Amino acid sequence: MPALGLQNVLEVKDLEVRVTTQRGIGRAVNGISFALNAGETLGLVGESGSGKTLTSLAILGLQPQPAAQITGGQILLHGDDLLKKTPAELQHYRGRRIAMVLQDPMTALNPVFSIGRQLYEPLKLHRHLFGKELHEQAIDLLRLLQIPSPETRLKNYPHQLSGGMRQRVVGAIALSCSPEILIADEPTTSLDVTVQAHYLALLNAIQKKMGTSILFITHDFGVVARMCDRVAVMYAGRIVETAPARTIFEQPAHPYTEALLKSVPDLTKAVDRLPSIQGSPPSIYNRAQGCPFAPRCPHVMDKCRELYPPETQISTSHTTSCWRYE
Amino acid sequence: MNAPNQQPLLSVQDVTKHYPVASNLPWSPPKTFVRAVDGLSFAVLPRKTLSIVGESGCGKTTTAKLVLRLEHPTSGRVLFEGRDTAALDGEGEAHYRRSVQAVFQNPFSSLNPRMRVIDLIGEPRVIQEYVDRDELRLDVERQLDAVGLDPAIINSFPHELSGGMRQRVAIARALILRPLMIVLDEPVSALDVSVRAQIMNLFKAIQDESGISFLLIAHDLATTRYLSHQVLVMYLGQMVETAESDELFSKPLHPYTHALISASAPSRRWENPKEDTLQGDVPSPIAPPSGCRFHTRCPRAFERCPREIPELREISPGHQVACHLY
Repeated sequence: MPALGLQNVLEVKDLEVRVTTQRGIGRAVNGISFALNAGETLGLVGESGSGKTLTSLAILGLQPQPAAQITGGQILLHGDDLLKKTPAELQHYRGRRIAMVLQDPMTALNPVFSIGRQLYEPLKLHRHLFGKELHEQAIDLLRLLQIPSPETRLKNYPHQLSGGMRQRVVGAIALSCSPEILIADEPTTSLDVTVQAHYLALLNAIQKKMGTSILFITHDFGVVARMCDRVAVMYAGRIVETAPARTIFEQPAHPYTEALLKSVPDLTKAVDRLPSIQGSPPSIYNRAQGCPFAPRCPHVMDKCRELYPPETQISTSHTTSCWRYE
Repeated sequence: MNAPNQQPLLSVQDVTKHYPVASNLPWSPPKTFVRAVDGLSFAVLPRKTLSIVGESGCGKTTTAKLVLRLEHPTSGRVLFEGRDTAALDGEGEAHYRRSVQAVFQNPFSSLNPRMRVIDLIGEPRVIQEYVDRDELRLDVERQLDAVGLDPAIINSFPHELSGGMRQRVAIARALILRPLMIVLDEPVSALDVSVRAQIMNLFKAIQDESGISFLLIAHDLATTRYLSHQVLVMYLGQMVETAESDELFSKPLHPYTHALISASAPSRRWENPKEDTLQGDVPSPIAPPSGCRFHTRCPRAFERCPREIPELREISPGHQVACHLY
């Protein structure tokens, strides 16, 4: 995949995460591999329970332990395996080299500390700034995220800001150390459409300026079309298809991707009936042999129920795991 | 479709709902009010779907509560079948409660976790009339079948069901009394993408079969377009535009409707779209801006907008807009 001289910053290889609960062992992430190239936005798309959030948490070593355990695979940052680091060493990466924006800005900020205090924290910890320089840097960051009157905002508390403004503050904190990689976990799902469009445009502009690689986690294809260069589609703990965003929309290969795209209503035309996918995604506790999409797939074959299909290369940048392409 | 001779099922006439904001002293009258809904009028026709769209804080959920009589209007009237719902006697009230049902956003919190499916769905009937257990079971099974669920789940608890199944249970509960109208408050936004289409198709099928009217509250315009006949756009408690669904989406007039549509239209990164995103946040409904309430964010505002309140004007039959541009 690192064709055309593109350098990959982050590479995830055969990552496996298992969740142990009273109901048994859940295979939440089931051997996934992908690479994030320098300066690109990779969309990790899937429904709830597909393992996308757990994957992003695992990259930062933040999976909810002890319930979730990484049972296999590698996470390579410039070829350096993050899974072999001690917690103290990981601390060095989190926030500085890999930063994260979480879904809900209402809970991502601490309600009892001012915006300023929460924004100063990474600047002090990772960049060892203090005094006037610290203050100026914080104000520059708020400006970067287009927050009006940053001086007063620094003294405000989270409840005094609107949802869109809060999410921009979270963005400012994440970008405070100019990370190489930004992991954005559904940053716009709790925002209104108009605010969402503005936030995404802002993120795009900042990426161009800073050259950050973004791993964008979402379930919304509208957001994917706006943000992503490449897309990896996840289903039941596996990546079923990886391709450039345009290819995903114009020539989806995997039946799941195809069905998912068709089931999203289009604003620009009136339709009588939406094609929908029957059934619901499998539970993580009984992921049977074979392809997890088989029970819902319109093209299912006998083979699908027995063996998980290997990854097939359709073109240089397009891969999928489906027996139809074997 | 908007034939003048057709009697509306529900008609809301110049309704306002103001919530008092705490006053300085407990006994002093409140000085300020949150103007959640400020002079709203609309009508829901039999067998049709009216959608109310807008950003959060625009008063759409308050409107739903007023229609459901969970809140009482500060002024104005809500008429159902021509009768004022505020002045119903016991018999009339019982009829109203039977005829107007609701499905809420989150099926994880709208179903009592300690009740079984049979009681969840059957409860409205038990409240309305005497019904023996065997008959109730038969009726609940019929409803389960109608919403596409296996009648075998009749003794399950909500936690045993997936999100899509739970929402179907909530729909079955709304249907059991054969209502004339159902208020749908963001009925699919908490569901997974692949399940959304199934539920939206179910709403269409229910309407085709039994001729129920829907009042749909939504912020997702694509869902709205797919389900509704008539759309009403709200901004800060007031209607800014209303039209038939196809007309509104093909020829939006109000700059706010434009912004909403362009924010949720499929925008493809590889086609280098021109983004005209809306700046800023929704102003506070405690002190709404003077004149046209949208002028603070409107890209086409001119000197008349902050001074004069635009009147609702009929541009073409059924298409009304409140904007000085027209």
